[in-house]
Amino acid sequence: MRGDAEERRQFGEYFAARRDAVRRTAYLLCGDWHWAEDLTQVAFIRLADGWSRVRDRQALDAFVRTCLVRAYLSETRRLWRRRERPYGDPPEAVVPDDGPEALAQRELFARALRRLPPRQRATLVCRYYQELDVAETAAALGCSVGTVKSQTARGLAALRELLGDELPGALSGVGGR
Amino acid sequence: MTDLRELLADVAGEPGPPSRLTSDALFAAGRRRRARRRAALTGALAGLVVAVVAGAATVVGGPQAAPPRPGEPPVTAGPGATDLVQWVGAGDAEHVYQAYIRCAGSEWPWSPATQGTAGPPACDKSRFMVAESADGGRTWGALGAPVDPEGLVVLGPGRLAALAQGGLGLLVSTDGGATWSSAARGPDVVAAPAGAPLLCLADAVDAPCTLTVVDPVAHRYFALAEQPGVKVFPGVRAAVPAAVRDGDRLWIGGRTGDGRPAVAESPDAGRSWTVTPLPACAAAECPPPEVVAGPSGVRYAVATSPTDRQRWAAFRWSGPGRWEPAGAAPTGPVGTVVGWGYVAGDGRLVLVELRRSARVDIDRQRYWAAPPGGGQFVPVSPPGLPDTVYPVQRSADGCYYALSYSDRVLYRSADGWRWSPAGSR
Repeated sequence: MRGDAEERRQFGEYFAARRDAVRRTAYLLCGDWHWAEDLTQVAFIRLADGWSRVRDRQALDAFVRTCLVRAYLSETRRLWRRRERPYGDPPEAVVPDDGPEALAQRELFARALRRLPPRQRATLVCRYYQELDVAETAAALGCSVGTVKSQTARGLAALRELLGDELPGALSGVGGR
Repeated sequence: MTDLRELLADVAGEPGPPSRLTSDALFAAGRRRRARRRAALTGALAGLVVAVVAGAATVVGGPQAAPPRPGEPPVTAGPGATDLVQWVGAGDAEHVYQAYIRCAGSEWPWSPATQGTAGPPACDKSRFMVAESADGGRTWGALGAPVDPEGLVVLGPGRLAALAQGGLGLLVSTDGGATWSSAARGPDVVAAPAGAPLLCLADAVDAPCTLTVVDPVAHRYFALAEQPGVKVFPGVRAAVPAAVRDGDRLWIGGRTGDGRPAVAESPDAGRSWTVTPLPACAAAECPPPEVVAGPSGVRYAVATSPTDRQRWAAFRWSGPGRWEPAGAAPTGPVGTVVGWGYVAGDGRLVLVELRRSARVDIDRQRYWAAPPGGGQFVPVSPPGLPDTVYPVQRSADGCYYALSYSDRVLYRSADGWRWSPAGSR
């Protein structure tokens, strides 16, 4: 029981430190805050399940990331595919200090990202937001290195096509490998 | 701001609603999950030892294994005000099943107008409980034992299958979802026994699935020895009602070895297969054809147009290996065409377009159907069917069900065109 209490405390510390980062990654994946909340819940429940097996802090992050990405890909195929979105706009509690141009740019990019197929989106988020290499991304997605490379190339090509001339130079210098 | 990392970070930094997750609740849920997983593993090992000692070679309908009972006991009460319906399935016109998750705090239906902008109540999506209705959805029995499935499938009246999360394998229920047992894989079978349901099970996220016969009574599942000549990648370790069946004739949509969209067809319950490529989008981003079953031998295959990914391509089965175009897609703008449809009682294919918008509070749908005898698809409005429903379910005896995701009301129809709430019959 004492060990359980200690694990609960450690889990609580990790949760407090990483919840927001995990939730933001989840939001990038799915584009919906409530779905992101669900995915975060799934990832941390699986972490609690396997807590005693994963102790190294670096490994914890990788474990949660893998759970998150796979939960997202799994959810996109669930029988009860998500259709409901309780509300479209987040509350205006915290507004970043951005000008209208930056807001428009962000909205444009977010819309393009949402139109990518789930696996391409997950690959780009792992590679360019989480800054994982190809092998780490393959481990997170549970696929081969070759699949990561092809999904990255396709995802970037699709983003370029969707963005067109709207964000000139946004993806220049970003390679598919 | 021209760097991809910055663009992604900018989107991730958008303001969101406050989180309702708490460390204690998640830790407790994780520990429950671990207990279930260990119980399942212990049971599976015990079953394996029994099988090895007995040298059992089981066939469909053969000797019954000693199945473990991995689940928790059933909930003794029916669905309450904070139980949220997430899924519906039908065994026949009268036996209908709904899966619920339990939410804390607020009652449903939730709406920002009545309960503020803090978001809906926190719901435990790791525990689904199934309730059975024996009167077509008018009244509901007690909630069953919690399961954590990637997918639920109704195999027949009282019989369900669930692919458990976390590598727990296939679970089956023969009491309408009240209790669940692990199913073990048996030897391959040469053909699907008469009436046996078929699922497609994948071993890994990126693996093609294997067409599998499930015997829920014997707690066994069996791969077909001769697999279809198309590969189906569910994308997860999913159990989906894969093959459409009409007596001994089976159909399944997928991709050929070189990636072409195609339908595999078996005239003899899976002993042999022929593959018919379809003129549809072959790009990896386009989903493979999906075969949709209707009444009186009516079968359709729905895929993406080879020339326009915003358009569908629909084909009607006209005999072994023959698929004829079934109506032309409209030329005007359409939104996302959902990869599902249903065949109404009059044999017409009804397709669903999902109309997404960032500025509305919920995604809505538009239904399309070609006139009888063919022609161009036009928007249709089946009376009584909301524009916010999960995929329409058709029971084996031809009754239609749909669950609305806006108000969680179950709708029912005898012909797929005229709908009414199931509880109001």
